[in-house]
Amino acid sequence: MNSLRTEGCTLTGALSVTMAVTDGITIIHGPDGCVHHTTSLLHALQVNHDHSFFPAILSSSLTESEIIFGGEDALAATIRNAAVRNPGIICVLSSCVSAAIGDDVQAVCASSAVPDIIVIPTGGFLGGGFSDGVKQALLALSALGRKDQGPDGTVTLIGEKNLEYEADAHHREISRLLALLGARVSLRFVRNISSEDLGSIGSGSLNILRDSSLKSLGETFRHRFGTPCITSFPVGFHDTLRFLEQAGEGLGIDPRPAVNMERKNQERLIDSFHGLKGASVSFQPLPPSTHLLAEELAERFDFRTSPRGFPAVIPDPPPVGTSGLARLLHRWRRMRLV
Amino acid sequence: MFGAVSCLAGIEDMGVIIHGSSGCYYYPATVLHRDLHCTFLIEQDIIFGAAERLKTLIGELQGRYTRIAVVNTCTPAIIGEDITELPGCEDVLVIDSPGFLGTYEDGYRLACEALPATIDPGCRGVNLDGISLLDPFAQGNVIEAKRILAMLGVPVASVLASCRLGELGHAASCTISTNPDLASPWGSPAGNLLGIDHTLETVSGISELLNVDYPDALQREAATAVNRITQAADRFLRRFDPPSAAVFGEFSYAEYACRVLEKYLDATVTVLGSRNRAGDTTFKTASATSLDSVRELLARDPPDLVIGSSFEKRLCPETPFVPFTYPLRGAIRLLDRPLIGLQGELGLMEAILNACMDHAVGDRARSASR
Repeated sequence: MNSLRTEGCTLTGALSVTMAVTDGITIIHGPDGCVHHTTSLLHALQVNHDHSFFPAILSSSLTESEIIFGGEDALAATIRNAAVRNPGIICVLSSCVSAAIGDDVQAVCASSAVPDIIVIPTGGFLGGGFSDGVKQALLALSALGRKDQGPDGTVTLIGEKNLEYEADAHHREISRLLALLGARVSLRFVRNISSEDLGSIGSGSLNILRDSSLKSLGETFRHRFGTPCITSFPVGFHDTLRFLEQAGEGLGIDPRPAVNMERKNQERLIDSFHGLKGASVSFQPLPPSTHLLAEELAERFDFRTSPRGFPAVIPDPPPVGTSGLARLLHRWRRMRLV
Repeated sequence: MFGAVSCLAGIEDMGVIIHGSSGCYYYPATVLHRDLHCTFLIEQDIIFGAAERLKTLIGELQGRYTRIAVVNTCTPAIIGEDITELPGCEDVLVIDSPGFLGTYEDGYRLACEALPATIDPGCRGVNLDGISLLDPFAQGNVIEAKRILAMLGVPVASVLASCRLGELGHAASCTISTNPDLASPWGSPAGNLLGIDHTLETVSGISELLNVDYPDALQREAATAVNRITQAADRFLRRFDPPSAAVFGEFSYAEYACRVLEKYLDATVTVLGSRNRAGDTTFKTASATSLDSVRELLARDPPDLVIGSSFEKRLCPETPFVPFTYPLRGAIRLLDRPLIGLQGELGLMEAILNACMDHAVGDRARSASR
C-alpha cells in the first residue's frame, strides 16, 4: 500500500516538532477530537519515555455549526485565548476539516493583533502524511531564523525524531563523534528549545539532518543561510567514519585524527563481540533502510544466514553511529544466548 | 467517531471500518486493542471520490465477519459522498458520526442505536449496557454484573456492547446499566449497578419484575461489604483527617466516586471534573475536557487526593492518586477490576484508602527522618 496512506496524520508530525518549542503554544484548527487523539498519543509516548512534560495544545473546537458557517471566528478567538498566556510563539496547524471547509487560516493569523504566529499549513491528511507535517513545521519555524549571524563553527541538528525512543541517545552519539573533531552541537532544531533559540537556525557552520527524507529542507537552508549539510545521521561502521570525514570537511577541520581514533574504537568494539563471529543468523524481515547495515554486519562478523540461526532484528530507523551498533550487538548477543 | 468505533468494536463478529485517513485510524486502533480496518484515505480520494475504495474494502472483509459496520469521519462527511447505498453493501451498517458532531458519548450512543438488536419477548433475562472498550472497568463490570445476576438466577441476554451479533438478536425486554452515561435504547431501563445501594435496589426491582426470589445471600454479602469498608474507613479516620478529593471521569462514574468518598470518609470533594455533559448532582461540578481546564481546577483548590486518569496524575505527581478513567498510562493493569456492584465499591474504597494511607504514612516517615 502507498506509504502515504498509512503513515499517520500531518498534525501528529507537525506537533512532534512544535511541541518541542518549550515556551510555545500550538493551536489545532479543527474539532476537539484532533487534539484529543494527538494529545493522548503524545502523552502515551511521553510516559513511555519517562517524560512528564505536557505540550501546550489548544483546539479551535470546530463543531457542526462552524462546518456550515465557517470556522475563522473560532480560530481568531482561540488565538486570543492563547495570547493571554504570553507564549514565546503560537503555531497554528490546519486540520483536514478546516482545509475542507476552506477557512483562510493565513488571513486570520495575518489580521490578528497577536504577534509571532506561525502558520503551518498541514491540512490534516489533505496535506500529506506524518513526514510532510514534520517538514512543514521545520520549514515554517525556520522563517524565524536571523540572517545577520555568520557561521560560528558549531553544528545544528535538523529534524530529530522527537517521538523516537532513542532520540537523546542518538544526540549523545552525534555529540561524541563531533567532540572527536573538537566540534559541538549548539542547536537542536527543534528539540526542547525556546522560541528565541529558533532564531539561531542560520548561525551554525554545518547542518546535520536526521535522515535523508529531509534532504530538500537541507537544500532550502543551504540557499537561505549558506549552511552546508550532511544528509543523515550515520548508520553502520563505515558510514560513521565517512560521517566524520564529511563533518570535518564541512567545518574546515582535518578529520584524519578523529577518523583514526574512531576506527580503533570500532575495532575494539568488534573484538569485544568476537563470540558472534561466524554465527548463524536469521535476519528478521528487514526494512529497506537497514539492508546496507545488514550486509555490512554480515561481512564484518562473517555471519552465515540460515533460517535456523538466531533471530537478528534491525530496528527502523536503524541504530546511529558506533554506540548505536554496540547496543544492537548487545541485544543480538543476548538473543543468541536465549 | 471514536465513541462509535468503541461501541461497534465491542461486538465480536462485527468488522469495523473507519472511513477516513490513517491519522483517524491509529488512535482507536492503538487504544481499543481490536482488529479495526480503515480505508486510509488520501487527498486524491477526496477529490475523485472514496466510495469505490470503501466498497472494495467491504468486499474484502465480507467473508470474514458476520456483519460489517462503517464509521464515517470528518472530511468524507463534509464532502457528502453517499456511502449509505453502495451496491452489494446493503447489509452494511453505516454510522455517520464525524468527530465534529459531538462527544465520545454521542458517537457511542449513535452506534448503539444502530446495532441490529431485537427484543425477544420470550427471553427470560436482562441486558447489560454501558460497556465500552475504552473503560478500564468494562470487563470487570461484566464479570461482576453476571455474578450478581447469577445469584438472582437471572441470565444476561445481551451485553451492549460486548457480545456476539447473535446475542443481540435475542435481547431481553429490560436492561440494567453499568454506566448510565452510555445508556442504550434497547430494553426498558431497570436501574443501574453503580454502588452497593443502587445494586440492591436494582436487584430488588428485577426480582419483582421477573418474579424471582430476592437473593438473601446478596443482602448478606452487601452488609458484610459495607461493614468491611466502614471499619477500614474508621481505622483511617482515627489517625488522619478526611481527604479533600478531586474526581475526574465520565459524569456518572465520577458522581458515584464522590458519593462513596462522602459516605465512608466524610471527604470534601473539591471538584467533580466531568469529561462529558454533567447531570444533576449536589457536588461542585465543572467541565474537565482539556488539560488546561483540569490544570486550572486542580490549581484553584488543590486536593489531598486525585481520582482520575494519568493526565491528572502527571499534573499532580505528589498527590495520592487513584486510577479511575482513561487514559491510564505508566502503570500495568492486568486484573479485570469492576467499578459496579459490591466488588466495585470494595475495590474503589480499597484503592482510595491505600492511596491516602501510603501518602500519609510516607509523609510522617519523611518528617521523622528530618
